[in-house]
Amino acid sequence: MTELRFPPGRIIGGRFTIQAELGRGPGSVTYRAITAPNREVAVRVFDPAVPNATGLVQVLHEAHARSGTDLGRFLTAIVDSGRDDESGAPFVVVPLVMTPSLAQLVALCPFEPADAAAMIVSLGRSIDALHAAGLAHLDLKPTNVFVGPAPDRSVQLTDAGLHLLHGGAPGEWAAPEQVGTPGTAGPAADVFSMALVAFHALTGATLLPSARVDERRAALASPTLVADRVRQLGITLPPGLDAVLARGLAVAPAERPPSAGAFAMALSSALSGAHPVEPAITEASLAPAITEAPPAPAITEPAPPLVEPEPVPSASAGMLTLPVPPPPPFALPVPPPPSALLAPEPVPSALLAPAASVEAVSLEAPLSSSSFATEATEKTARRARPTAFLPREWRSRSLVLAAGGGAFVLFLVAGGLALARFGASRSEARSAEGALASASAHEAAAAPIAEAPAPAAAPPVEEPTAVQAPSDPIVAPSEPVAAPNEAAAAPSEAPTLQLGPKKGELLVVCEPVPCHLVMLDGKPMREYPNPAVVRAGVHGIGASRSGHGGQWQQVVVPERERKTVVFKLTPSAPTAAKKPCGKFLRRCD
Amino acid sequence: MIPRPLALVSLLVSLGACAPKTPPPPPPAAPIAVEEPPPPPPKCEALEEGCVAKAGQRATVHPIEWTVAPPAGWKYAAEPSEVVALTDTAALAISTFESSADKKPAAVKAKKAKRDEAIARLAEKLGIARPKKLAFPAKPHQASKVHGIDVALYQFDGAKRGDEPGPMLVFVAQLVPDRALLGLAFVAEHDTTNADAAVLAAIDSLAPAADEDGAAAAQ
Repeated sequence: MTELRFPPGRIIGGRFTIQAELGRGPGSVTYRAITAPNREVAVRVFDPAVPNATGLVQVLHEAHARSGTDLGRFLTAIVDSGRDDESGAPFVVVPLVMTPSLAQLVALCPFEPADAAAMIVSLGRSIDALHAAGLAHLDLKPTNVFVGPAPDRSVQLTDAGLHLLHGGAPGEWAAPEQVGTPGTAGPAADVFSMALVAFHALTGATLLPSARVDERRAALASPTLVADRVRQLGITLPPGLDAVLARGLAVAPAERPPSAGAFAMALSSALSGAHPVEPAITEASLAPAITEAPPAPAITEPAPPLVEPEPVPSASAGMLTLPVPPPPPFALPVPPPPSALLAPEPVPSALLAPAASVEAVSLEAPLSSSSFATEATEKTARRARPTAFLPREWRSRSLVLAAGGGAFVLFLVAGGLALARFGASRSEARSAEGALASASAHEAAAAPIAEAPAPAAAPPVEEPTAVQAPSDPIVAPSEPVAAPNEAAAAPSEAPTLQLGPKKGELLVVCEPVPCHLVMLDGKPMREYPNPAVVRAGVHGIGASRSGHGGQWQQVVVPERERKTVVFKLTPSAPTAAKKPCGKFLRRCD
Repeated sequence: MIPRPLALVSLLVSLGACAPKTPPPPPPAAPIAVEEPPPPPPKCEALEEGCVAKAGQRATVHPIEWTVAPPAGWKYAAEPSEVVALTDTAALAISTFESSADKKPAAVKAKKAKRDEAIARLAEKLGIARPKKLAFPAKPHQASKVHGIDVALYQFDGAKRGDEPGPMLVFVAQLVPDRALLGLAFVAEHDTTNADAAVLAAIDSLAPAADEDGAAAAQ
């Protein structure tokens, strides 16, 4: 690859001044740049050695522009593109995303099931919107997914279609069909990548052991791929999740869920402990959707929803009610395939989702009668139909009424959620106190157990679980809460702790001196130095003490067992004297 | 009544008794302390004189007759061709070099050569091992105006004085059409005395000798 290194101050395209390098990948470098009027952007410069790179950039830019501004909620669209005069390197310009990437977040701590469910639903909605706009991402990976704050965890995607400009082989997140015959991959490849990304978000680990094609193929052939990997990591996933993931990881694109939104909903349902709602994918329902793609009445009906639909947790419904840009893949003619612009390379036809496949993805939801997506579609259609037959002024009034009503309902829901979160945090605080009490009881019980009256010592052991259960809405419904009396009968030193399912105990020990601060998954561990009841699974723990520096460990807490983590603190080397942070012209003050 | 002869004898006896003795030799005069003239103040023209700069003290940079206030408390000397000030962790030297205002490439090249030569000389004087590559950018790292003169400041990392690493500061100002002022300073990285700030203050104190009083008053 040609060395691409632009120093700060270098001007690209006559108007983007490089400020700093943001990241470097195979075949491209991303810089933070500034342009008039004082606007920060991200400029991605590609290796000029990639054949026809400039043409591809131009096609991408046009495709993004054609997809309309509504897609901006889900995708950091290309706002500019060009070619650097000096180096000849093509570049694209995208807005600077200020939220962290999924890779950054997971590096700190894997997602809780509730957070992961919200993120996956948003991811599914984004990918569906992308597909509906005639684009396939085909480079979905944690570094290209930017995640907003909880509880929405709304997702913004970057680099849609840019994989062709990387000049390298498809990465470890690519679907099998991307590896085999480039140019044939379509929206189903995004579903495959989405499954890998979802697993990574939940566990912090990659599902496939290697990026090598043969090893990946062998791993994907195993029917127990997810279960084996979960066992290998020593964690547990909600029941049914592995089956949903396996569906998304099907080698044959046709065997995967029909849309990213449907897959996201299935994952979300599995994460919430409910019975996964999987769209019925049968040969009979899938085949006509792909081959014929007949127009669905609900979509071809000339009654666009007057009110912009609220974000429905159903991604398929979101896909259908999404304001599709002017050349929709349903009724209007599909834009000419970019391959016509970029002869003789067939690459752009893969870059933009093929028209037939886009139609199939968009239209197959109504065809599956048993799926939730169909119900949502019908509901949306029912909502839209009456207003379509009303006179114009009535329509506008109903529009206002509907908007007002919707806002009121949203207000009520938001208030309820806030109250629920407040209650949950209170419960969590109480459970933390309970954990402290139980820890004290444990320490006291190191003395003869008989001396510690069982009823007095045991309830705090169970109390955290009993109280914490409501704070974990994903797990709570299915958790059997042990009665205090049952817990009292259990010996406190039993190897298997009397904790709820998916719970374990974590004890942090600092030696030879106690820690000043212990962080658990990015938050101060209030229970320290006592054990804390935590979710079984992978946790990141940091410990520090002034004058001793800090340490960090990633540990796996087994279910219903205590995991003890020992930090051996060593005094930092004494510094002779505090020196200023800079000299002469680089003084800090 | 006393007979006349007896009276005469007693008179004689009394006279003899009261005869004056020989005066003692005068005591030797106390040695008069010869007040030696006070030693002349050190000229502070060599570091061996051990002059320590006081606040407001100024030293002249020859031959341009500009003065500078060395940082207070630093050992300093106004040597014939440069002013030098030192501490354990920092060093400052100010000198001049031939510099024409000609913009022709050859003149510019010659000017740079003279400048580099002067830097080498000052570095050797201060015991500074310069960074291996001393690339002066086209635009100085910082430019300031001192007493109406533009001073260009360049900072280079990777210098050493003895075993102590630290940054090196070079400042240049075209004072007169054929001569430029050149300064070289070094502060060890572990310095905690704010010596770098003292160097910058010394640069700000540069003034023509004629305006010395004014410069001092300004301080």
